[in-house]
Amino acid sequence: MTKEINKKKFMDELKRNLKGLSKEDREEIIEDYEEHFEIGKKKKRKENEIAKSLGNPKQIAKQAKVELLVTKAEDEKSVKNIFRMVFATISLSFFNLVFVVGIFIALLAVIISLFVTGFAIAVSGIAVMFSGIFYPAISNYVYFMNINSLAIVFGGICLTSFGVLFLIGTWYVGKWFYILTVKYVKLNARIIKRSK
Amino acid sequence: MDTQFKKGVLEVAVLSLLQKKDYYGYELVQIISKNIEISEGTLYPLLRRLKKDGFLKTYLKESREGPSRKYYQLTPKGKAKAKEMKSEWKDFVNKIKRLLDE
Repeated sequence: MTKEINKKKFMDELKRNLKGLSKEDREEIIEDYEEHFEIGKKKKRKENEIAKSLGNPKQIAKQAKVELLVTKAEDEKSVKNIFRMVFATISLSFFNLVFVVGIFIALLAVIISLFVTGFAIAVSGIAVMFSGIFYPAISNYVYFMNINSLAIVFGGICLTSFGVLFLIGTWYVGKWFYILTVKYVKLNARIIKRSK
Repeated sequence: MDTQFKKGVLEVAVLSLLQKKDYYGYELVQIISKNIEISEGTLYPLLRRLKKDGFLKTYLKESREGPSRKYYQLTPKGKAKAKEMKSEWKDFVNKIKRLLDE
């Protein structure tokens, strides 16, 4: 950022960094600062002085962007929204890039693998169940220990139920992770920069 | 001042000012930045968030000098929030004061 800043530079820099937001949101933000400049000039302040005391336009744009994306991630929960929010936050500071994203991706991987595990357990339970049902029919050809076929069916049901419970548990963990991520970003993003 | 601390202060300052009357953005920014050291531009994102959360609403009003201005007004939800935050802050300040005086 150069030392001298005027209205045009401020607004250009602001607009450039607001890309990716909807047209209405962008216009609303730009209007707020346009109005600020207008009124400031009516109060006999110099344009570059107003621009200077507003602060860094890049930082303002990024802050505004994160605010909007947090609201969006809270209102409509989706993986896409949380990714957009997390990446907007990264651009806000280098600190987040190094520490938080690593943790975020690692936790996301753990949750995905838990989902896969739960799903695999449930499916294998179903397979065991069917093998129990069909065991009497094929027992003449394949000898598989001396287990009652009913026991195999029940074993399969147990395994499937366990898999389903596991999935439900993982679902809650995922939800909790989502909420926590939003909270964390909120805490970090709403930093009010010191002037100068 | 600590940034997280300042964030909370700004929110209560905005809500409390708006309890008395409606202000337009520029006015709010001037009053607050006179008392708390902030970049003036950072107050607008806060105002937009308070609006998105349903604590504030805005309306345009013509001014004698120049274009119309966007005024901020507390919603019923915002009024309740202002009351709640103010009493929490007063309570907090009193406790700290007692602690510092000890």
